[in-house]
Amino acid sequence: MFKNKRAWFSQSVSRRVCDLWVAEGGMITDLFTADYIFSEDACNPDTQRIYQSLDYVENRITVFHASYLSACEKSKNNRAVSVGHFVLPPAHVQKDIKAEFGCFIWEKEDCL
Amino acid sequence: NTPASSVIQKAFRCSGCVTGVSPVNSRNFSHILRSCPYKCDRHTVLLETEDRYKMEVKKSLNNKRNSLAFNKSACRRTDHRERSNVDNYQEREEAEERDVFSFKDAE
Ligand SMILES: [Zn+2]
Repeated sequence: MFKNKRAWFSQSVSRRVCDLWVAEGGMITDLFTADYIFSEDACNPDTQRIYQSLDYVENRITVFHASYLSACEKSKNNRAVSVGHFVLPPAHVQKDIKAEFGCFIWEKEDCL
Repeated sequence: NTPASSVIQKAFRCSGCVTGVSPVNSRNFSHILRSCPYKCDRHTVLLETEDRYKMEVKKSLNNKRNSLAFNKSACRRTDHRERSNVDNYQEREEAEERDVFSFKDAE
């Protein structure tokens, strides 16, 4: 499913999810060469550092929540899952969005 | 068409929501979403809120740069200081500059 795709994973992402990425043909690389940036915690220092970087501020990088991978796994094809629903914004931004739209897609279980 | 259908229609064509159109990833997503005329409400609010956050970060990055630039010029004016003092200043300055890193040079 993730053949020839390169991802960087924050420390906050579980081993299982990283293994899923590799099992489906994906490669794990560093922040500079990754096509996909995955994290599960906007407050993790390695993710916060991205939100403070010039590239984030100048719209050259977007962080996605790693539950995108399990969603692809469940649907058995990543074509059907829109990564755009898994954008992981900084914690402060998340608060404003939740105030207006409710939980994020990855929070659905514990938010109900 | 009635507002309800336009809401559904919007989500259907919002490039942040649809899939399979072109390979979307962490590098091009922001650009693709920003140039989409059919953004759904959620992705519109996401962009607006993110932009406000980015403005704040930009301000603090600039202050950091200005303070760096100011120290730099101050450092050159007093060049009678012995070499070692200036050298470790360079290391500290490079360390600070690394915080304001950019992938630009990596591409
Ligand atoms: Zn959308």
